[in-house]
Amino acid sequence: MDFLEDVIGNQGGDNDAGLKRTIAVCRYDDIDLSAWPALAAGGMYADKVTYDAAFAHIVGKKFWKFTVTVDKGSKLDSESAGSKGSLSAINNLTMVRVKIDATGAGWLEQHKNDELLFIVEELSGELRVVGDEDLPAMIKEFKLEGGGQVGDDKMLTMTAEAPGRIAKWYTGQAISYTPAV
Amino acid sequence: MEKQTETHEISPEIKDQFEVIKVQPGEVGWKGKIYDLRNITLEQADKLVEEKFPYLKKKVSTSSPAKKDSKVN
Repeated sequence: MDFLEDVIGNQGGDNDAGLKRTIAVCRYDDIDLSAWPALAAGGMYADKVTYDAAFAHIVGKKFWKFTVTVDKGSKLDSESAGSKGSLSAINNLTMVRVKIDATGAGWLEQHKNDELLFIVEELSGELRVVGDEDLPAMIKEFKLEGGGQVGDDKMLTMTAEAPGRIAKWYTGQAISYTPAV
Repeated sequence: MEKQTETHEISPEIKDQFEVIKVQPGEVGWKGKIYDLRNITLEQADKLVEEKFPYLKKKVSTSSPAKKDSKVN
């Protein structure tokens, strides 16, 4: 594999951790898979992990919002899977909602075994896609913590796992919360 | 996930000049902001089209150059 460009350091730019509060999610099969966005065409390193066209849904389908609590541990991690010479990636999207209610619990009950696609916005403003072409994300684990003392957090924590490729950046920018026609 | 029902009406002043495409008029995230296509202003609509927003198209004006000329004269 050819090298493409120099990778230089972050010269004092922002490098904020964590996610913004609105996470877009839909069932994986609600995406128009025949129109899956292509990778950006610039031929540089960033283009290897960037979708620069918008996701399209099949007619009547759309993204839905799942709201998390900012700065309570919601995050997107990507790590290696496999051993030297056979490395792949696993992405873990942790979503923390400091509220236990029937709506959040019902969401989990309904979708805990669904194939899903998520789009999250990092604090830096960059959008990331959790789930890749023919590689949907699924909920791996969840916890509804009731707390034992009056000062404890009561919160819903769930982690979605997407295997295969490092979660893509999404410069297509559009997230439709209204049904496709 | 299809239980919520909504109306999908676009405001008349936007409908006059713009067409919502690919989706029903409603909420759309774009460049970190959420716009409700049923309630955007003309200024926002112009800016979105300029930014190559995929769900809005400016309608082509139907008035012919000849008509415009006749108004000037």
